[in-house]
Amino acid sequence: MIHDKYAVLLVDDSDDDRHFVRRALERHGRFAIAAEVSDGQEAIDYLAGTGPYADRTACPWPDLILLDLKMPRKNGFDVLAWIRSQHIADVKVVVLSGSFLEQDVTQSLEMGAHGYHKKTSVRQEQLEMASQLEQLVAGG
Amino acid sequence: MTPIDTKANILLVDDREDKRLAMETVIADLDQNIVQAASGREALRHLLHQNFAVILLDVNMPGMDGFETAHLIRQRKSLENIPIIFVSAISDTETHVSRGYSLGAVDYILAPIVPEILRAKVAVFVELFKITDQVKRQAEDLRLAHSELEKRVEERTRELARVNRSLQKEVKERQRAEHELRNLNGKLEEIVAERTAELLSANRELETFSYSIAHDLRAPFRQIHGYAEILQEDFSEILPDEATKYLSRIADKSREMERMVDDLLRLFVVAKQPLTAADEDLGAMAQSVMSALRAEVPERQIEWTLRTLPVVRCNGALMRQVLENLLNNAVKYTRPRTLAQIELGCERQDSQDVFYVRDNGVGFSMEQVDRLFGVFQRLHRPEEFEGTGVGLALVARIVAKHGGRVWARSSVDQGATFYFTLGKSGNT
Repeated sequence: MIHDKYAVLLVDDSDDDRHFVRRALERHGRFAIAAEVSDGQEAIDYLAGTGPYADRTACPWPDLILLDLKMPRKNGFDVLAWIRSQHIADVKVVVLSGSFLEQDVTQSLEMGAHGYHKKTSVRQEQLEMASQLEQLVAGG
Repeated sequence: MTPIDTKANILLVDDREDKRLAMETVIADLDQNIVQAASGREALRHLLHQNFAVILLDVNMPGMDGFETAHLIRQRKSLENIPIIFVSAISDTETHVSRGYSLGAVDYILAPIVPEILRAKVAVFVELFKITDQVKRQAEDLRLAHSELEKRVEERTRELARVNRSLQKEVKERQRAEHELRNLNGKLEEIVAERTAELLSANRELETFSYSIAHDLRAPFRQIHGYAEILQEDFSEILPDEATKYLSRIADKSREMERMVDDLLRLFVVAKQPLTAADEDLGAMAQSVMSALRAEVPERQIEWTLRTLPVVRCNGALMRQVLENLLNNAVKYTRPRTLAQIELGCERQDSQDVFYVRDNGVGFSMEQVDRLFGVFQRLHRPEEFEGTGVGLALVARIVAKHGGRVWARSSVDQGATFYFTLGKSGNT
């Protein structure tokens, strides 16, 4: 938590998409962006606290990870696999992807994701997603 | 056939001219050819050159007598059967007669000659000769005819053999041609199979390519829409009205593009994914789809009719898409109606379930029915009815994937009915 708000780690290689998500979450009011990283490897480094992410004060542990699937170096599935391999349980991981394929949804959930949302630019849909994320994180 | 009325030769052999004359006189009535010889030697000479029906041979001749002459005659192969009638004055000698017979005489005439007897005996031999000659001639004719026949048969056989050889050659040629044809056919089939595989592969590649293009276009369209919305939200107060208007257009258009690409991707996904099927309660599915649609247009007056639908073996997610698209179309195109009527049902036709969605909307002209199920084909202007023109193409693709078909009936302003089947295997 950052100032009573849920700390969010945004993992997406698109600046634009991170921008929309950040804006939607901030407008919702119950989320604070702990950090933004642009690929799976950076996400793993952040969670592992290695390299530039060693300082947990500057790089707080997130309550929620919003994870894109298609990214360079390591993709979203690699991150899900790593999280599972580390037995990390005190964080909610939600996939936020542009993918259409039913199999991406199924595979994400099978690999431990707590939810799956399709990327949207429609304000109303973004706010609904934020509400659902809040419910998920608040549910423990 | 040779005519048989030629005269036969009769040889008279006697050393005495008066006796020859006497005998000639007797047999002249027979009207045959009479040759006279004064000695055995002369007789033999005549016999070398001519055929005779009978020889009248005097026994008592000076030098070579009748018996000696007969003996020499009989030695000749060609004359061994010639009839010889001995003429003898010595009547009382038994041995004379028996010797004559042993030398091949066929008859014996004793002097003094009785003219009737001589004439009758000679006539018999002449007749015999003529008949024998006729038989010989006939035999010769037969032999000629036979050899001619054989020649012809031989010729015919040769001809047949030649024809046969040429036929065999032709058969071989045919067989070779047939073989070649089969080879070519095989090759052709190979080529067709190869080409088909190439085309299928190219098609798959093309579709994969289109999919990735469409997929990559979605992000920028979504982002343009996102920024347009941000501009509207954050800067509408300081933007001139005209700029706000344009901005709104940008937001709408980019959203429309995003939708089109989304629909296109759905179309590709149906093609790409293997069809998994389960028993689906279409009635329950339709109920759920209708409720969702009803909630979307609370302001509309719609009379929904849902007939009994069977449980059907199909892909649930795809079938839901079909019902959604067809019912959504019905909702959309009944918008001008104060009271819209939408009916979903199923009829049994030719032992096949035919599903239908019927509405009382604006309908369409049957002239345009071919365009109905094409991708990005729209029968209305976007100002009248929104949409990307992919919905029915998606329905058609899903139904085809289930082995069924889809069709529609309508006329302008008279509502529309969409039918679909799920193929024989799709029915439970």
